[in-house]
Amino acid sequence: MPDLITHGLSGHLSGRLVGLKRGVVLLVIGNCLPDLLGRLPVRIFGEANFRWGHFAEPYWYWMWVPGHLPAGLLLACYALSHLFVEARRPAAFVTLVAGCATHLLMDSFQTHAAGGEPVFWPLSWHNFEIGLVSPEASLDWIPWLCAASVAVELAHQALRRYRLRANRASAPPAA
Amino acid sequence: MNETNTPRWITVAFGDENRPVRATLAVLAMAGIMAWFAFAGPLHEITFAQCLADPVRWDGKDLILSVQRVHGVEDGYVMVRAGRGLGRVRPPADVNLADVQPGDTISTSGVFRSTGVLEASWFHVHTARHWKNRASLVGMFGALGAGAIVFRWDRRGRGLVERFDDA
Repeated sequence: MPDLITHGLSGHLSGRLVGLKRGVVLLVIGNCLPDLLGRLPVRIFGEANFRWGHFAEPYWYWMWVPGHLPAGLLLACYALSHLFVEARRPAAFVTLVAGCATHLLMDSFQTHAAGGEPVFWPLSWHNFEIGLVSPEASLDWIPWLCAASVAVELAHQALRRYRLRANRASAPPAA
Repeated sequence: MNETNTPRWITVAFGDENRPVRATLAVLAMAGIMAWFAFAGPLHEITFAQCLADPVRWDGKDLILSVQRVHGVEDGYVMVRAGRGLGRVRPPADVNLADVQPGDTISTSGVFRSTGVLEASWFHVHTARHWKNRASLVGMFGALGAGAIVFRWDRRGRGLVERFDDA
């Protein structure tokens, strides 16, 4: 996985560049969701195992794998979308799924010793990855992504203010 | 949701009717998949710990250790967790063991020997792993903090809504 700064900024950039009116933060959360569900628990259990030898059995680690697979993420996004009001629920689901899909696509470009993950489960247990860059390569991109993210957000806010002013100017005077 | 314009399946899948039931079913389905992976996943791989429990049987077995923390470096071996105990990895000759420190993260692959040693043919030290973990913590708290700022609970709609119209 690229780090979560890279995933989060990718979510912000893609949301702004696609022109989402609402849901940019939701897209950022969707971009981070696979690692929060699938990687964070493994890191916690792995750390406990490293320090004290607890949680050594493989099932403690395998059980979190669906949190980083399309099948599990669709269910998680569907459940999470039910936290939203009815009018926003379908859009929240689609936005979260889009974020997760972006995350998995970015992850697939990394090279892993185990050859990726069974992303096509339940059709296949075969691991898949495109495998072009090292898992730590994303650290080099953070400054550029931060700069791009700030520039895009400033441009978005400036454009928004310009449009508001233009709308006010063209509105008919109140009677 | 506007019943007249909204397709029926969207109302059924995302409407307020049966909302807790649908959400509970999704969570239960996720829990079921997790339970299935916990049961079926370990059947797909032989672990270092299993090899150490019966070294003669697994002599010559190809193993991959992915993203493992180094416990120590002793007598030319890199010690890593294998189940509740420790396992020994002998890196290839071109690896300088002075570059491997306890706490570092490694990935390696090689052949398990009946002596209880993993003879690595490929060995990689994830030198920037600490920074990646820290960056991920910052990203996680950033995303969750942004969510806490942007979303609020709407009592009338009984759900989350955005506070701002362009967030």
